[in-house]
Amino acid sequence: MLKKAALFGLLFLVGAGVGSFAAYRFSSSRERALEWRSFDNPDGHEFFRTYDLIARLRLADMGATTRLQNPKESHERRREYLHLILDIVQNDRAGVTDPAALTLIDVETGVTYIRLAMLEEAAGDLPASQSWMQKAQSTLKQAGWKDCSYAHLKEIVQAQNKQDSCDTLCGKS
Amino acid sequence: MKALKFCGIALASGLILGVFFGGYIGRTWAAGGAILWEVSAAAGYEQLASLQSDQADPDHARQALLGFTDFSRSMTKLHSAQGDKALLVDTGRTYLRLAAIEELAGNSNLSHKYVLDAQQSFKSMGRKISEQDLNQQVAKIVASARLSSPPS
Repeated sequence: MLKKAALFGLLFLVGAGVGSFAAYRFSSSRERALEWRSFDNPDGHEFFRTYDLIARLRLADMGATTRLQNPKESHERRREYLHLILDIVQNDRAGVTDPAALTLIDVETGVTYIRLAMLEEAAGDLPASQSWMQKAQSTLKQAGWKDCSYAHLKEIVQAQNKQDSCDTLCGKS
Repeated sequence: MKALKFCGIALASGLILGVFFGGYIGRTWAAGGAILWEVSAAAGYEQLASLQSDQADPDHARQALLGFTDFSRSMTKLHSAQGDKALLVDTGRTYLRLAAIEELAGNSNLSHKYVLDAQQSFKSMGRKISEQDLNQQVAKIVASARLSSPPS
């Protein structure tokens, strides 16, 4: 009797596993097809690349700023979180061709450079800080920013950090 | 024969339960992921466009804001964006910023067009706002831009 119940249970689990897997794959791909049904054309593919990159940058930015405010995080780990954003840009920027989106990706890159400059400054590494700040100034100048002075850029990022609940990272001037 | 029937019942009952469970999980996870992506993309683009319009010269500000209106128009075709009224609010506010830029540049006709676009965007989310109220909003943005920009 016990053997029979065990066999029943085993076969039931096998059936449930196979059924769950197949139905999961089917319904999730159906949901994705529903989401993207209007974008199955070259313009749609272009939009998808921009959409995907901006969404990932936003999530990485939120993740980085949230983690950066954790006082337990070391300087190296904070730096790594910011480099994650730069890595995403470096890997996927080439897939985007829309000039407006490209400029905004440069703005995100510039803001990340400023955060890195402020992070290095707080750690006492002034040459590294200056190097990041120069990169930020050059990137943002190209993006059409009117005032690329050190003080102004720092002020902008402090406001951004506050907005992203990240004021403990580089909020100290 | 009896054993085969026994095994068949066990497998089939597991399979039926699994299909319902897997279907539900697949649908909810995919829909949840799509909503997370949609909200992140909209918020990310809007935040960057807004920062760019505050900090860049008028040409780059225009490019960023028009980029967002195009982007949000494409986004409304997404299934996950169907109930996203925040996207329409952001689009309406972006049109008001564009109207302010054109007002500052002396392009009254284009500014008026953007005010009407903003009105349409707010209307499509169920909020009827008069043109006069929107013009007041534009005037506020223009006044604050004049205050923050250094005298030439």
